[in-house]
Amino acid sequence: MGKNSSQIQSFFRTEKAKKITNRRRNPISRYYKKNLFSLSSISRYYPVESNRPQFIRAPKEFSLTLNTEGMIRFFMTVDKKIRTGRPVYLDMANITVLHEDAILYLISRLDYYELININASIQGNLPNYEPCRILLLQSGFLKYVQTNITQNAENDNIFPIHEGSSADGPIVSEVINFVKRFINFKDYAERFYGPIMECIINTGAHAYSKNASYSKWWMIAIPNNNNKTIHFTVLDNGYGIPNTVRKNYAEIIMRQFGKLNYLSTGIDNKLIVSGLIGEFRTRSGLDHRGKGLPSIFELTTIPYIDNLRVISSHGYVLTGSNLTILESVNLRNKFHGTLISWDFIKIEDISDG
Amino acid sequence: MDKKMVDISIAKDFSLTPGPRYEWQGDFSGQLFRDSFLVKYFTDPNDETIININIDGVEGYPPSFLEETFGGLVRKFGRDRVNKKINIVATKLKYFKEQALKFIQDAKEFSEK
Repeated sequence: MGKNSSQIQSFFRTEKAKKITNRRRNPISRYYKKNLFSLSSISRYYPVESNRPQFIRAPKEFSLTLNTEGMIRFFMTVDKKIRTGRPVYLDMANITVLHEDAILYLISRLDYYELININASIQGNLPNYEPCRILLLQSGFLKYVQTNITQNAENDNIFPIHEGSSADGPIVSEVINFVKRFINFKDYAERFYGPIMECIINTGAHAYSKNASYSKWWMIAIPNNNNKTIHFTVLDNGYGIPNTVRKNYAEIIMRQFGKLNYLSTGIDNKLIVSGLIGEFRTRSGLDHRGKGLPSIFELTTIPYIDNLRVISSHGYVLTGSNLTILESVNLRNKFHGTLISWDFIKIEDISDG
Repeated sequence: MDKKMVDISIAKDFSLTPGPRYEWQGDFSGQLFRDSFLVKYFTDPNDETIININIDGVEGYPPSFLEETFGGLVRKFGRDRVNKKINIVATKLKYFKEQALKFIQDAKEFSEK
């Protein structure tokens, strides 16, 4: 008995035991203090149970392109935990694939939590895997959080995250000029401005027009594949295309049914496709409206464009070239807002069109 | 009597970066362009001024800008008057000229006052 007692006491005196005790008092010490970011400052120590952070591990594939359902589930978990009022800690250390679409969505959600004055604070760390960590830093993500990280993150070969709340022609012009540094579009150069503008016009037009202060968009462009493709992504925080396009009664009922049974029987993907191909979908009921989505879809007729993808509410649509739909899926869980992305691709010796 | 002519260059007189459809959506909207530069030549039914609109030199056009500018004129003043008075000039951006002409053709006449 006595022996056992002494063993227990000595156990708590070891260095290891001290570390374990400290971990319990200060959970963040395990999670790379030097890489911390936070949305609002909180105490480092959590003596009260209600202040103890809830750790949420980010998916290894932190990408809406590759892991759409997983990412939406992750953010649903964040939403749920954050509403408890306790601090939330986003553990991003194990991320091995990071795409800019997910960075924009993270920023959009953090922005939303700030807007609704959520009581809980949010903290997180950076990925351990260096390419992912560098992308996160160079994307401009740190502008949106508080951090002591001083690492120089500028990279002229990235068009970092820009944001706005209305249609901003000069920024669209800026991103096109950035892409033109890598790709000579010849006669197609002026064809991109309109569709990109339409992506962000929709923020104000469809989204929170009654609450303009909350209509926001974020965009980013990053070269890949030895600068042979430039991946362009724009996200808005609106109600989403399926919620804003005009629907008939049958469609309204089918949507509700799809939401209730979680069996992916909804029609949001079909509503997005319908909007893209220019069926009469404008909620205003004015037949001259609704030019935006078709003009975005029209991009697929340009040889420099590939992988046009739209994610909005419960819908996911991937298009191919020349107005074809490659994939159209109804998502189990809701994506907040609308994400549109595509690749600008470098083509040698293309004839002018 | 010679008809009066005016030349308007969107790039020089308005903006290099044309904006959205409506003014509340952002700067340099189609609504703003139409109301500031074009409507004044339509309000007098006897005004026969020909308006040459040069659409070259800009970054590009959102279709909603073009629709609100040209389709919006048709909705207010009718297709015949728009066709008589508006001359779209494009040496480089012919694609957008075709778009604008289609919007003139498709817009519902006199549906807006």
